Amino acid sequence: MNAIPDSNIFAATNAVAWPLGGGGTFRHPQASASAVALAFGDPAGVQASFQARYRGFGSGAPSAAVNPDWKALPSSRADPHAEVFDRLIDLKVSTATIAMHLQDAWRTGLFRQLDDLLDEENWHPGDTLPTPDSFRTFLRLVIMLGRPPRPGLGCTDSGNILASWRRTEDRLTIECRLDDELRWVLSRRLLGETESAAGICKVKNLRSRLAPYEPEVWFVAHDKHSRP
Amino acid sequence: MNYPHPPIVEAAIEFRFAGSGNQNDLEAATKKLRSAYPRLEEARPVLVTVQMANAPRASSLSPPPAIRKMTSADGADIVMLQPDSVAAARLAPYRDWEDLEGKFRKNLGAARAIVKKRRLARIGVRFINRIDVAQDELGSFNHRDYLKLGDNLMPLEDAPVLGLMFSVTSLLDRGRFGVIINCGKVDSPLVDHAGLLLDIEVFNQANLPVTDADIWVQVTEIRSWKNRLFEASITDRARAMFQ
Amino acid sequence: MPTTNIPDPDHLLRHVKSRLVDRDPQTGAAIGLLPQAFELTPDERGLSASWLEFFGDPASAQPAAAMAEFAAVYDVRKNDRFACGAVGDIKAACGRFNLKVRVVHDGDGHPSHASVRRFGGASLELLDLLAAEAWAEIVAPTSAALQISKVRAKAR
Repeated sequence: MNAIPDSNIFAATNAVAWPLGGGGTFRHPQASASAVALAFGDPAGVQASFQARYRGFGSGAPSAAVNPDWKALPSSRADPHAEVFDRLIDLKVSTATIAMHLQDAWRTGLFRQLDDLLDEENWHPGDTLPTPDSFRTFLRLVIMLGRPPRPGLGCTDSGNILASWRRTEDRLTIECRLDDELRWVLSRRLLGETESAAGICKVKNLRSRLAPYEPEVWFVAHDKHSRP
Repeated sequence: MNYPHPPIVEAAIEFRFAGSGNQNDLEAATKKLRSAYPRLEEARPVLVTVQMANAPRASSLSPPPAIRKMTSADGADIVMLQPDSVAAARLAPYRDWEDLEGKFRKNLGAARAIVKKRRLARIGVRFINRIDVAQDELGSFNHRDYLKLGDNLMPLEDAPVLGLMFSVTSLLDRGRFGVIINCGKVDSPLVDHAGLLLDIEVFNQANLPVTDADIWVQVTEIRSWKNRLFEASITDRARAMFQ
Repeated sequence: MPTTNIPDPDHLLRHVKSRLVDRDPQTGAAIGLLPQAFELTPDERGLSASWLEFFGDPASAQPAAAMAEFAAVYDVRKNDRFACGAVGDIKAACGRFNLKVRVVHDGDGHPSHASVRRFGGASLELLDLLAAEAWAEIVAPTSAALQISKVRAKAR
């Protein structure tokens, strides 16, 4: 079975598709076309091969949109903040994996928040930057929730993104960890009583864990500014 | 057809030139583009040579040129430079063709050091799409609900496939253009979803137009072919997802 | 330096880095603290803070003095905040989660340094309660403190 032909344009988010040189096949219009190849081999092996080639385009491995083969070049200025700036761009590039599922205004607002979080003048050097793995979990959370109002954003000492929703006295804070793991805590006033709860779960189970606390208070937009 | 929420993950236009510039040309182009694309990265293909014992010593080979990737501050627009090529890429959210082509033209202007008066050797347009589809508890879904690959004509079980990888390399328009289509299943960033990736590249690397006007007409023509291939590959059910 | 217990009516001021400040997602304004602002860092023996009453009267001048002292030793940035809480409230909140803490003055690192000891094992719900109620008053750094921190950073 022939290997998948490499596309000739080097895709920005995928180092696997190296550009070919002359690609002589198409210099002569009379050259015959290749046959269609529909490949079913060992499913796991076939899939793994395809996934590896396109690892920047799915949810991908950690740091999906950041190709480990690319090396950042030094900034033209002597810049102690270069690492912070680079991480900021990385997180914005990561957003591209789901941007087709976001409204423009939501994405723009998120980027403004990222600019604030990773503002070079306010970031403490030596602190662990928000990790791409954590940010990936955050993006999956946001899409799973059906594009809720944008939360407040923070970052733990270990580089995990914190997402916080507040509505009057009701509050929910979620720490986004590696591999879809969430650590959440809430305080909710229901039927005249204030209840608090905390837990750890996967993104896909969050709604069911929060169901007893009527989480629509946080996840449904209540004014036009916060609509996703 | 313009969709409100196109499934485009990356869209790219590339011009490749006969002959090659040098490192200085690359640096000059990089400098001009830096303010619009402040993030700078480089990838260097590794050249491995193996010298067999007792074999005549091979003549030394130059290392392949580096590829420069420059990213805009919002992470959505990318320029890629090599000593013999300039490319513009747009990640999601894709705006429209005019936005991509406009940026590419600007990049070409800024990368004059590479372009110079070199003859065009290749024009390519590549669009990579990802359609996110819900999977059942077993992690399967029926790709035929979204893509037309022709496998429905085969005597296969009418059931979700276990794996999917499809590739075709062919010619278009009486051999004027070439096309590479890759399609397959990838992970999706959405929970309980899978991604159907549809990667279409249309290009010309023979008998290229010479004048500027003709070149841009051909770029538009290549883009039209890309659109035709995309529309022919998707079902109405998929189309409805992009509204 | 020997430690002394800090009485319940007195107050603690804890530095919170910008990334642990809760901000309005629309305006970016600081609206509170994230619970993790009260998570023990690996090098903390107890929750670190400054003891405000260490600076004497008037009470209104205490936060600025505490911030200036802190900034002489540690990095303070414009979007950071300081969290102010009464010792009694902090102890009561911890008590609700069965944590019998000691709030002591030990002068460790800077003269007014105080520590909430026996805080290890604090639950996330307790951290949230501290952030939202017991230790929730937030104060922006003074320009003097920012200046001191800048000068110190340059001299390094």
